[in-house]
Amino acid sequence: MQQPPKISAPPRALRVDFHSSRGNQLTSKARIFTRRFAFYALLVLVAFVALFPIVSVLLGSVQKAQELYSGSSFFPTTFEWNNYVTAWNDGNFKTFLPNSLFYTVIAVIGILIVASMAGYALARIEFPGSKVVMFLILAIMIIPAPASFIAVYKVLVNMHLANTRQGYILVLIAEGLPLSIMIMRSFFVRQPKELEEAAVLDGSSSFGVFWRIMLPLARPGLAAVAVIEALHVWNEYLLALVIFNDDSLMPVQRGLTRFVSAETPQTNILLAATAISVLPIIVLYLFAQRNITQGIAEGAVK
Amino acid sequence: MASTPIAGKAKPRSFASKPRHRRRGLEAYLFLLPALVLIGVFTLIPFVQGIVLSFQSWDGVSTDTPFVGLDNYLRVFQDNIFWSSMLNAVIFGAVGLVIGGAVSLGMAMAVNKAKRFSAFFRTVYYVPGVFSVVVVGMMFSWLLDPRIGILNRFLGAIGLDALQHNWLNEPDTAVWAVAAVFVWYHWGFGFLLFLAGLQDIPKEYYEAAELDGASPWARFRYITWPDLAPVTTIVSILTLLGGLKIFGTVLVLTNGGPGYHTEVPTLRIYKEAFQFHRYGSAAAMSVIFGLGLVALSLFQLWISRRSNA
Amino acid sequence: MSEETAKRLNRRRFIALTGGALTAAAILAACGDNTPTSGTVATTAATNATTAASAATTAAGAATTAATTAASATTAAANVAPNGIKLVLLNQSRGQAAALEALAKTYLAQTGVEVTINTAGPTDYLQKLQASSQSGDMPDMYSALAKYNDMAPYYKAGWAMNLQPEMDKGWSKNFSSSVLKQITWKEGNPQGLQPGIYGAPWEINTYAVLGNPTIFKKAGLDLSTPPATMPEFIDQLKKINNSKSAPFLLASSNTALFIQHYVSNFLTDDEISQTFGGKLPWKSDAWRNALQLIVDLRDAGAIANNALPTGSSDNATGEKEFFNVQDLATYYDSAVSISVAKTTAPDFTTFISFPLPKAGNGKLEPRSVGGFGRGMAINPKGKHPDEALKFIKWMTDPAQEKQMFDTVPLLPANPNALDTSKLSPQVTGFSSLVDKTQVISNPLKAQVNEAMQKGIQSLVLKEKSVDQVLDDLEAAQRS
Repeated sequence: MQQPPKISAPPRALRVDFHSSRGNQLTSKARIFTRRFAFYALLVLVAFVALFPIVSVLLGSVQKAQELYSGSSFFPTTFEWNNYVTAWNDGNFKTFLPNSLFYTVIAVIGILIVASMAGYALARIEFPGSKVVMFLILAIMIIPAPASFIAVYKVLVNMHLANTRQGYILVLIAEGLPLSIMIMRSFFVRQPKELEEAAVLDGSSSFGVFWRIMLPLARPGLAAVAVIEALHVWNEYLLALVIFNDDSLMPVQRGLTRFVSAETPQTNILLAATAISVLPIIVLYLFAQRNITQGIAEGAVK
Repeated sequence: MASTPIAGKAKPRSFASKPRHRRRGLEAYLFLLPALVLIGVFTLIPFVQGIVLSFQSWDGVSTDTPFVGLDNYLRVFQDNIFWSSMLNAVIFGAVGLVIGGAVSLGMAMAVNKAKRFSAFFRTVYYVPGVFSVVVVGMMFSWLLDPRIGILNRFLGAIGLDALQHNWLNEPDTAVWAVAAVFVWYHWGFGFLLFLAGLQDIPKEYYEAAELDGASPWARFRYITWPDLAPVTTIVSILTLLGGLKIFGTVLVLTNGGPGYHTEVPTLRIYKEAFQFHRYGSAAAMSVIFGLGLVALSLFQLWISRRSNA
Repeated sequence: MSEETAKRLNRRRFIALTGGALTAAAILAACGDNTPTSGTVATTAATNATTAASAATTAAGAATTAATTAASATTAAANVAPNGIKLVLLNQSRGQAAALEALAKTYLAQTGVEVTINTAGPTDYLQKLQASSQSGDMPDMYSALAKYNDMAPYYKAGWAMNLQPEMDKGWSKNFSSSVLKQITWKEGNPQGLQPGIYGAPWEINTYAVLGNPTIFKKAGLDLSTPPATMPEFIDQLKKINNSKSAPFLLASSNTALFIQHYVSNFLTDDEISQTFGGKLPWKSDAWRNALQLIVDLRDAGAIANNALPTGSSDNATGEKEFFNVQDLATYYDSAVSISVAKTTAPDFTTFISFPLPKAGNGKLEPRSVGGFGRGMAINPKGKHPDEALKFIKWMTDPAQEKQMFDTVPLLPANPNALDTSKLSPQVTGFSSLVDKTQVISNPLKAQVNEAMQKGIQSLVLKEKSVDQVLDDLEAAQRS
């Protein structure tokens, strides 16, 4: 990557800015205020666009079925909190929610470990065949395979891992790897070489360099991958349906599909169940995003 | 401070010492081992089987899968609907890349800069992506319903009746309506990665730049953009691919309609396999489509490498 | 180490601890549940039973009849102890799930055979079935859908018992003669199946027009005598359109059925079968007349929103307009819509159903599409195929089918299950067609079905002409 040119490059811009701040003190304060107001107004507008469909989902989740379907009123006239109770019971959250938590936590930890190691190798180590491996991972990520779930299921059956939690988790990790490896790689690539070289001179092993220095630096990347993959795993359904015969092993999505039916639609309950099911992800995100923004603010090399 | 080297891909000097080279190779593969094993067993095998299937004929259930040579590929080459659906894929890919990418980058930068309520905004902007595609499809089918949907009702209420459309069922608006939903649903992904990427840019650079009087645009162009380059590359590839491979959103909202106006290759592949029961030609379609995607991604990688070199 | 690194490590330790605690809690919770390998069937049955019970209480009134009927059946029959035979049934229909579970419970009490109902749901059923067939753990019984194309691969691969011998031994009394004709695969069928019967249906599906009398009244029309001919119907739809109400709709996914239904005014069942089999051309006057109906409806302004609903849940959208928003005058749908109405709009009882009006220029009496609906196929390679057969035979007896009718509801395939004189006006339109359904020996090719749906969408949008659509159908037939 090139060295960026000296920052004070455009002198003309310099003069203009200097001039405006020198000039009218009062109007510049007003200008700052309006600029800030416009800035936050824009943020709020985008937040509105992001939230609006979701708010309608939440409002719908406490409506009676008839009211929801007829679309007669946007705001619920009666608050049917009972929908949530029905959703919890009929959606079998009691069994499915701990299952989903378990799968998500284990799979994400697995992905983080495996993907960060692989990403590090691809980013920082020059070795023969690195281009081939990268190309392969890219190809696997890109090319769609429509009936791959059948092949995956057969592999599990042959390994006697069908209808087991371990089997499911292994497949989840394998599925999330290509994307996570590419993301982790891009975060490792930006780190300065000098850190590594210094650590190696200090006598640290390769793994030590990786574990103690590069990984903490890539923490925002780790947090991002954790959130992305947690979401993937949490919303995954087809594999679970195919791999598990026992309802007791099923994840949360299984409970949700109970309310999706052309013959006996229960959309208001579905909305309530959806609201329940996205809560853990949002909690995870709240937790993780603090990690994303707690990056090393003090500078890369100390 | 001025002597602090700036983060980036410095080209390593490879000392031609063979043992060290071999040791590094071994190290690399040790790091890669768990990933390679998992991918090899669970992803590569189905992948290879898919390619083999493209030369066979299979209805999904029967135990015999006779070899048919290039018949499937011939049929796919004559499938006009498949090829014309590629155009829609390109539209969705371009929209996802350009608009989706710009929106998520803009949002990430804005949220990064906001001092108040930043946690609130960070959460709210990511929320669209947490719902399953079925629920999102449901949400927007309602919102865009021509009679009882909020959008048309709102337009009517403020007197803009002329702008009311049957958004998902009119040929002129269907693709753009689906594209808009797609961007809404997927901007969280780029937003998250850009936000993470922005964290690593040391604040000193910006402070130094401000002291030197650089305009916001100059700060963006000379600090933010270059430093985000690896993240931008990966986000670009992923959002472009995501758009090209769009599936769930189209299926739920329009199922390729009206007519074939929102038909996309992934939907054709799905129908070929699961509705027409021709898994062999579906596999051939996947291979052809996949190769096109790989070529496009390599092209994009090449472009970004050139602009960064 | 610098202060920041120390802080970082502390934070990381905290994160690790919380993560570990969360994982531990999750593992405990997950493992604390039933062990998956043993006793699964019992636990799943228990979970299903509780779900069935709660579903019964939350659904509208008729469901409680199921609970009481099941309870009374249990007390009426002698309680037999479980004899250790366990069967698994893979069910496609969510609407039938509760009823099936209740009946399974009754069967357990009567015979000691335990039947577990696994409901996969309509969207995932085929994938689940496919994966099960590939790994060799097919269920003992599974839903036999009315869609030939989707079930044929399984019948061909030997996953369905040929029920013809049993039918010949007297089981056929549980099915009407037209249903029997429809479910018999004949010699030389295009799927290459051995002739026979592979699925036993307990449901009949017919297609008719739903009508909302209130909207008709608003346009000055009286729906108590439904329109008998299509010109009359279109005329009424024009008046409804002028009174600012939405006249008519059908879902894109039902358009092929609609055309097939209407073409029976011009073609015999045999001629329709032959067209489906590729032996008669699509470009004939009969099919032209049928597609012309779409053009006529379009030009009369009879299609609401001037577009047919699309998307994977297009029928649900249309049903919502008719049953919930209640601003649609007429809607073409199957008998299954009655159960949708019951769930989502139990208060809306003024609608009626009437047969599709016959063509003004038709020669034959029109026959409805559909006919046999869902039922069950039996896996001959299962552990207890004879027990499975007994269960399915029991399910098709009048008492059980009547219960399905009451609770789901669905139109039973057993002609002795229903007293047709006691049916409500909502159902009579559908039920009157039960004996007037088409018997088609060649299913419509999936590619042609798609070409038909897309072609009709294009007709409505004025993007194609009738002859162009017929050309597309020919091309799809040959593909």
